[in-house]
Amino acid sequence: MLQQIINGLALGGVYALIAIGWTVVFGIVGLINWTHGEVFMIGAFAGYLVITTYHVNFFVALVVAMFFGGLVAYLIERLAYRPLRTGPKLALFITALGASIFIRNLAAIIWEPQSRAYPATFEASVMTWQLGSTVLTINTLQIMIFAVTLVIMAFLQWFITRTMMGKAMLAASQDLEAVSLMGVDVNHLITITFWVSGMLGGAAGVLVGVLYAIDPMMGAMAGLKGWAVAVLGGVGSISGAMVAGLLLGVIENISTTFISSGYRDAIAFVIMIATLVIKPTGLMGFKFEDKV
Amino acid sequence: MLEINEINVYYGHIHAIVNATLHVDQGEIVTIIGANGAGKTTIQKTIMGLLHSPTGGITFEGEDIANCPTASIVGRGIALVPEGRRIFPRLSVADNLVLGAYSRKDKFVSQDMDKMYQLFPRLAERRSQLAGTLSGGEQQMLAMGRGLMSRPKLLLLDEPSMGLAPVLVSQIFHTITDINREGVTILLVEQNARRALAIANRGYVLEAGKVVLEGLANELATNDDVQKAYLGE
Ligand SMILES: Nc1ncnc2c1ncn2[C@@H]1O[C@H](COP(=O)(O)OP(=O)(O)OP(=O)(O)O)[C@@H](O)[C@H]1O
Ligand SMILES: [Mg+2]
Repeated sequence: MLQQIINGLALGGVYALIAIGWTVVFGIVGLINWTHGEVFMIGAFAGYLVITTYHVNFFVALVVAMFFGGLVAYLIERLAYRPLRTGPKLALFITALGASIFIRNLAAIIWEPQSRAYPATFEASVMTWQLGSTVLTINTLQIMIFAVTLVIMAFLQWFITRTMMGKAMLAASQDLEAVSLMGVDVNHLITITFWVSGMLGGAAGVLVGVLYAIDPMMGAMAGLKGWAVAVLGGVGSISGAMVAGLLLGVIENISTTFISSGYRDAIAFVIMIATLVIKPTGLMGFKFEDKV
Repeated sequence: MLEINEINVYYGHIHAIVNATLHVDQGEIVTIIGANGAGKTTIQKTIMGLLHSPTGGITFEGEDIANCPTASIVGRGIALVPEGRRIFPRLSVADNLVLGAYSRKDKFVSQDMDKMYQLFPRLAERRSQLAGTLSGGEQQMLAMGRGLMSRPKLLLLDEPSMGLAPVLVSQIFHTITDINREGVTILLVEQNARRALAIANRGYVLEAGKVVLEGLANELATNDDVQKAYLGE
């Protein structure tokens, strides 16, 4: 059991990163961001390409992937979403879905649809611990991935609670019009939001690439899981997405010991539906009574 | 200071503001009174650039602001304390206030925070509390403090007394006069016409989007039509 929890944490951290990127955009723009999974895929490929062509180390690849993730998210916002922002929500929803399918297939044309794996950039040694009667094995890659996610989350936490722009982003997820009344340029704020979201997605892409094979279609499931995790955490809630991501990673891992691993991907959606039925505001959902 | 000339505002087919002309001079308290749905909020939102008039113009200190983005209007020195307060419930009281100073580049922000805590001592005790946990009256104080943090020359207030207990209403109106005495010009929208006219220099009466009457506040307060329609006499 402890072993499953440890295995789940690394993947859970990645889920959390994807979900935070998803939830900040939803919180501020109110958009179901279908392209977020694609940004994640672009990050995974950017990392792969820069490692295979320039033989850079993992951390350089991470930075490159974050940059391209942010850039792609920014371009999607500029080209696809911004012209429609004041239009009907349905138009935006369909555009997001269309943009996602477009990017996915474009990637399949450029990079071929088959899957591939990152070259082993550094030794993945396995450590074992004896804890009473149980033996725990931990892959150093898992530790590294988990550490990287924690650092990114800590940095994000600093950004949103300590900087003016970050505070404005938090406020914008509560009341965008009121934020504009504070003198915040809302277009600029949304640009930053997409950059942040894309950088988180890009980072998640590389982290997944280190552990698993990547392919141009990988974004579809990741995007949906990001959504599911965001719902579990309470849409728009960054801390909720952090906790819910870790939780999903662990639950998925534990569940494979009880049910067939073929159902693994379904768990996220069962949890999402259960959340919507039992507590639609999610784990960290806030509800203040209207005061008079 | 603020000149609004012949503006018309529409929500789809609804013609919410019809050829409205009004002005606010430096140092004044001007009030707009009117029934529910008369268009008071719409006028204030249009001044802030949240809504637009296809006709006429709005100038502030001689400069056209009708087509400026909201951020630049705030930067020029106008702030709106919106209807329903619209504070950020999941941010602390202090963060709400700090955000009010977003457009400022000077380094006196923390000094002004202390001023707000003096003006509203209730907020000082609750500075690290989430704003959503404040009482209605405290939220109104926070919304006003947040508006003042941008150091506005002109402060727009949209129904600051709405839903408050009578004691608090008196307190809020006192605070408005205090703020005005400090040199902030005020455009006050109210349904509580009696109290608004009592502190204002001038007033406008809005009916179905039209300015139907304007004048000195004490004249409006004794006007027969106003008394019948808004003062319940
Ligand atoms: N978003 C909107 N969409 C459509 N119509 C609107 C919208 N907002 C306001 N209206 C309409 O415009 C008119 C003016 O509304 P406004 O909110 O400015 O009135 P008000 O004088 O502020 O009223 P109250 O005292 O109730 O706040 C009303 O008829 C209202 O129904
Ligand atoms: Mg109103």
